[in-house]
Amino acid sequence: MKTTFRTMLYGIAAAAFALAPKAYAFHSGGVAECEGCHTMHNTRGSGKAVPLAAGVGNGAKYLLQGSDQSSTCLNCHNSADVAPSSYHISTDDSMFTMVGADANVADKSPVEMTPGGDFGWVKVTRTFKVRGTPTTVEGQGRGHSIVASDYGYAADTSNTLAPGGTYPATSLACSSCHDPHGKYRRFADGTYATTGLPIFGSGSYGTSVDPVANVSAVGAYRILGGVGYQPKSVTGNFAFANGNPTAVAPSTYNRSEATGGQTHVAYGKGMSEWCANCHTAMLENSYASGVSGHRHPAGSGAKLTAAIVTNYNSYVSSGIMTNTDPNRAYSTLAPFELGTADYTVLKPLAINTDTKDQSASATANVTCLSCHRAHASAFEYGTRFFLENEFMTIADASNAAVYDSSTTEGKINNGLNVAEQTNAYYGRPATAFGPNARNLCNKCHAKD
Amino acid sequence: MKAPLHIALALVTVTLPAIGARRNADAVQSSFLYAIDDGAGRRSTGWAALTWEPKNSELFLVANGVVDIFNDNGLATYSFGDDAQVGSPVAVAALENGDLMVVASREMATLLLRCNFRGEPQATVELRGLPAEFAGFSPNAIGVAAGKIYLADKNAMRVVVTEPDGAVVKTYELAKLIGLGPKDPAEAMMRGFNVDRDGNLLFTVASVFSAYVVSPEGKVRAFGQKGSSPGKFNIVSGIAADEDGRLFITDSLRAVVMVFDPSFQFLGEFGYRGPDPENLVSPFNLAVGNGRVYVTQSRGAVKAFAVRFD
Repeated sequence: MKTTFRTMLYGIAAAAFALAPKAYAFHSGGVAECEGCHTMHNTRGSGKAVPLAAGVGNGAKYLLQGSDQSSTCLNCHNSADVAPSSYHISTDDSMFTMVGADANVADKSPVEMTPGGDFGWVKVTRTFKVRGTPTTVEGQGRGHSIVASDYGYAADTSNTLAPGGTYPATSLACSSCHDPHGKYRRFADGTYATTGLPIFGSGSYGTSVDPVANVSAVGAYRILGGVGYQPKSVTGNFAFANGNPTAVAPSTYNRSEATGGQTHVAYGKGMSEWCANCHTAMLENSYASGVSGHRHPAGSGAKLTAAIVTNYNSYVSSGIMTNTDPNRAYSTLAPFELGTADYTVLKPLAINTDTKDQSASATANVTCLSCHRAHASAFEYGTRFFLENEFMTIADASNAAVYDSSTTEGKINNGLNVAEQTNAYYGRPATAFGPNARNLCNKCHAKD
Repeated sequence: MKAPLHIALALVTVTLPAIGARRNADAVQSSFLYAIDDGAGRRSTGWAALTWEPKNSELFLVANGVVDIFNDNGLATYSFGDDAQVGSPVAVAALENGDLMVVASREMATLLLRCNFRGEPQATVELRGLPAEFAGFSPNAIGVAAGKIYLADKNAMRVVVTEPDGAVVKTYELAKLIGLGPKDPAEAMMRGFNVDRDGNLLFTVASVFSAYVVSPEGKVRAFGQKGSSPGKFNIVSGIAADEDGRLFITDSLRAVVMVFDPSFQFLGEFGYRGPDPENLVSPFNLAVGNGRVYVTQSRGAVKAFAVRFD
């Protein structure tokens, strides 16, 4: 009988492999395998597997298998990668230089290139000189400083509250934005709720299944929290007032954009409002040019003006405004929302090639993500490009575009070496921007 | 027709089923020895790459663009890397003559360098005879056995075996070999890779809760069972073999090092989360030799353990 039993097991194993694509999925748009994050009985023989004391390596709050919420996530989402791969959003400590000085040629930075960015950047503190004056850019200013003690992530000590809001930095975790249980679901009519129909799959991708009326729902984009969401770990009143944003991403989204095309996330609607759940005061739907007291427009009502649309679509590189190809207009370094919640419009645009018209129009709007990455970036404030200086590139002796390699003056390179600047722009060589390229504020504003 | 083909592949290649872990926990006695300090204040080296060099009883630790070499008392004896010549070392293995084969990252590219024992580059090794489908091969792990170099691209689930001069002698498509489906191999979470002294490939794939041993002839043996009790796999990570063929496997989520005999019988485990010296925080890579086990952690220094088998 042993042979028969083994044969049966082979069959089971084989069937599991045959269904492998399904087996890879962990969240599947909703709640994942309980045991993937929690230790049920916290047992280790006759003792406890995870001690109750606080500190790195301990934890056990909520029966988690990590010292805290984010550490639990990073057990899978952190990786010692040399290049972008899969669903990794945090380069392991072992792979980069956290503290460097004067653009050391051997300094090395985080490598993941998801649209949201690599949290590893918040560990990268660099000291360099600007016009001879020592200057330090602290890692914690490069994005959302999640707390994940098992992986060396600590709370932001500068912004102790969310800018524009009151969410405490010490409570910032992956679960501050992403509902770890993935309860928020989208129905066929576009509405969201935490119950009602079973989640049949992820709703995050261009290739995702569609919800079927009265039959199935799909998970919210990136299993983000929706109306009423507040992590159990945060005390106070921080329940989300605004609902889930509409967006879809290509199913392969962590990649260099050096060749083959950009990673087009089709942002539809509501992202800024969703960010405003914590960064309330940053929402700006009523900007009036020439009137004081406003912030930069960001919100579903912050529509691109005709002038901005013209600038955006014609911009090729700094000072060159000759583009006429709508397929080449969109830049993932300065994206916008299309102003629609129609998934039949959005899903075909979530691709990794520059082969579809995602050009700007008057129905599109500025979103927080037009300038910022959701996780972190190489630049202060987690921006998609270096807006603290006028130049992104310089010109070499032959007038070709190069990244600034100076090790004595960091005004342009901010203490990042050439490889790091290339990484910062998701693999793009300096030639993608042209020589002496002013920063990408000009993609919209064309002041260069 | 895809599913039946995959079933057939799996039936052919998986020669040992994922049997349940039978516990014989007392068979392994472990004791914490020390945490490695590189002398430069880098007390946390994350999931550094580790290599045990048996000839000189040395541990190579690769992290933050530097290769640190330690003797078996945990004392740092030498360091190289962190310069424009080598770039940022990612993984290292020693040849019989003492030369070092270094996988390094430089200017957005991954290189294979042959260095002398001081880590001074002697040559950039170009892979010759690589199949066209291996274009873009980007190794992030390395091993040496019987004079051959084993390079693994864990994201692509590919292994290339070469002579030290770069002549490719064999390639493996691990995803196909173990019958994984057509989806991006990077999502399969191949986390651990090593090669034993007989040239068997050792690797783990977390998404299917399995560890694999592939012989030089391509015969696949798999084992592992999903779960959170002793001997079971939750997020299975690093893998290494000792001189007697025992397999040491880390589970990052369960925070343990598991030990299996050469026929995959579970012998015991050690580590666990906690504040005590012998505890581990999300362990990952391993090096094993001379009755010692070296383990990397997501946070904190590499820890050394002595192991004994009754």
